[in-house]
Amino acid sequence: ARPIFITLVLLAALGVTSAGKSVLVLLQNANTADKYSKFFGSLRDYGFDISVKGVKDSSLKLKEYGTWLYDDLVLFAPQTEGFGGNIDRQGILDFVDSGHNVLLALNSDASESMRNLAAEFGVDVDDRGSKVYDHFNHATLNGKEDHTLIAGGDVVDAPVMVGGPYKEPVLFRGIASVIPGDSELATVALGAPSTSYSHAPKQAMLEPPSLMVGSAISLVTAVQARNNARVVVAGSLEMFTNDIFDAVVTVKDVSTHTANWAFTVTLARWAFQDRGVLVASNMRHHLLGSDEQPWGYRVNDDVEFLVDIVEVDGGVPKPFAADDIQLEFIMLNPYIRQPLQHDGNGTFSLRFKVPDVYGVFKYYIDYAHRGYSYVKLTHQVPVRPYKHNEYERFLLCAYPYYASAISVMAGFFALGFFYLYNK
Amino acid sequence: MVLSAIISAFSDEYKKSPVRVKVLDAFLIYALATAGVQFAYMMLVGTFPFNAFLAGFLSCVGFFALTVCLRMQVDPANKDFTGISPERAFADYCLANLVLHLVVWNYMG
Repeated sequence: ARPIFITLVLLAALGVTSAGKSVLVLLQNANTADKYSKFFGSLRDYGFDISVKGVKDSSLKLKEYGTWLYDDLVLFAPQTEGFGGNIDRQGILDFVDSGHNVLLALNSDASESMRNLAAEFGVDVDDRGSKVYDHFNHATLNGKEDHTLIAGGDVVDAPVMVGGPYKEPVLFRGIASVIPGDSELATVALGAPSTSYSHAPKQAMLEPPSLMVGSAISLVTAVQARNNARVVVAGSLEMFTNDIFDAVVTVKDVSTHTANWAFTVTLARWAFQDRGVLVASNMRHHLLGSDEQPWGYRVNDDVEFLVDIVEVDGGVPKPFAADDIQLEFIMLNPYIRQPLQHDGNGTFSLRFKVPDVYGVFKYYIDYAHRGYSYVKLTHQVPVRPYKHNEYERFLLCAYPYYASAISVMAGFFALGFFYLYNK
Repeated sequence: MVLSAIISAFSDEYKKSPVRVKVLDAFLIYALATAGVQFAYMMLVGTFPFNAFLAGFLSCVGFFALTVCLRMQVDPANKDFTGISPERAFADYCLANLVLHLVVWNYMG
């Protein structure tokens, strides 16, 4: 009970990060909020407090007198060139730098300023006017076959981020983006099928590699910054609308519903740090057989390291279970690098033997599992060498040396006896 | 031929030395043999308790050196030490051995 108590106190003290439920939604025109009523309604059901405003509203502000007024920002105004009120691009970047989250939706008419904003988060959006085409994996909506309505994109295998495996397709109609292949912070949440490409209809066709093709295209990108703030860049604003949520489409001659409602709501909850947030607390270590935290160790000691990690889902902490959290015991090189074992109750532990090297070591955990917030912990611990009376004595392999020294002493004794008492 | 002549001449002369000196020589050979056994053992099993190896080896070597000094002082054929009585020589020898074995057992671990 004590670790849970500490975690709740921690969460209450943290306040902003995972308990943040105040959302500002900016639409091109505030009157069009009905188009997304199911999306916002689901978020409201999950406890979010949504305020819808027009993007050119002159009373807009994110920050007042040094405190942030909202916890999350939704930008559903892809064509806008600038913002009204006190919001500007730098303000949005400061918003993310302070740990808050952004959900940004674009479409083929995405303005330059919106594309630059996406680029600030590491997502490279294709040129204005380009659309994602797929002649093999498209959907027919209301009798009209549309090769830009992509069905059959690859949903990333991360249930904490986007939800369970979806049998129905997630529809998409919009603009393509790419992220660097070696990006550590950005993940493709919905990737394009391998038969798609991105093309602006009024311009000449590009050649690869400038032409974005296939699985290199990211339709929806999820970025988690180093301060655990999350930004989701979706290339299609239409995938959030009621029409697509309710649509019955034909894909490859099969009539099917869409999975957009579950996909977008789960992804939005992930983006607003309502899912997949890990809180690590109560890091402790001790020698086996003792309970107190020592100032440091001696070489070849047997020690145990423990840490409690909870996963916060909808504000409710539950014990986290994973087999791949790695602990390093490192002094320039990691002498120990082992996965932690969990006991099913959120306590992760590892027993190991301190290496036979003395110096100042550091416990280091750097956990970055896709979909979960980053867990970075360090703790310095000095390791001392043996004291002069802690070495092993009376070793079996040294018996010949003991025997020889004793025999030399016996020889000296015999010599003395002979020398003194012999005539 | 010449070698056997040298050896027989040497052993004839050696038989004439006093008993005391010959006994000291026997102990010298004993110390040397013990040192050799320890060295062979170290070559076999490695140097693990190196301090123990050094302590044992150097106890033999130190004993050898001190007994050589005693022999030099006690041998009548040696004219350099006429002022020192055999008892004095032996007393010095005892003291030195005391220090040697104290150090050896401290370092043995």
